Amino acid sequence: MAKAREEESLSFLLDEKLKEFVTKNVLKAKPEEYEEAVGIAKEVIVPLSKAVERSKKLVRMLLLGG
Amino acid sequence: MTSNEKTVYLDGNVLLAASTLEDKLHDETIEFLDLVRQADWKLIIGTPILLELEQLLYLGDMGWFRLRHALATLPKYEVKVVEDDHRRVLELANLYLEEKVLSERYFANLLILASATLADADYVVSWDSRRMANKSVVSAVNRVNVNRKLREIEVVTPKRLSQIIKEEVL
Repeated sequence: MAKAREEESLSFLLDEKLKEFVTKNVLKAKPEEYEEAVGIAKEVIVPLSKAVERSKKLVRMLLLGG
Repeated sequence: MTSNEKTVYLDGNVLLAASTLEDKLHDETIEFLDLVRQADWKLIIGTPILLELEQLLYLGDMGWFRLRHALATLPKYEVKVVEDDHRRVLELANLYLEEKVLSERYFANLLILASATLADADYVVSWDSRRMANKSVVSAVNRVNVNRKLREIEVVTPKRLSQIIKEEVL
């Protein structure tokens, strides 16, 4: 089958990989296990997103520790 | 311009392409996001996308770098994170799986389709034209949605939605 145009995009390929990881983690998860996984993602990503919005400098410190 | 505001749910590949300057799909993605802004439509993501972004944390420096840039895209385009009912999202994704919308290998895609349906999104936008923006997938999702008295959704590529906005909205 011919390669779709998006398959030459590194972001697209990375996203496919991320989806594979998510599938591996939550396929056949019980509701409470899924809720826990989502809860962790929210606890990590939402504050980080707000930090990025507030200050790139602060994020640099968080991510690089300097 | 019409004042008919639509809600657009972004797939992870759209966020990643928007935040990566050198990506082949970057320019088209940015054009699409700018058009959505001009149309005054609402951009959202749900918790399955947060699950995806969290995985970047486990990919070392490159992952941190991509995560930081993807997150910077959210405020830039006023992308809101919707509060899903996680159990309903999981239940609906499992129903899509039972109805063979996609195989279990693509369960993360089913979570996104379920999250977008329950968030009342008008459009899901994805660069994946095989497993997301694909007529047979959309028909299969909407068969389940109609049976469940849920709203029908449209799944399109950013390129297609840019065209719709240019022709029908602006």
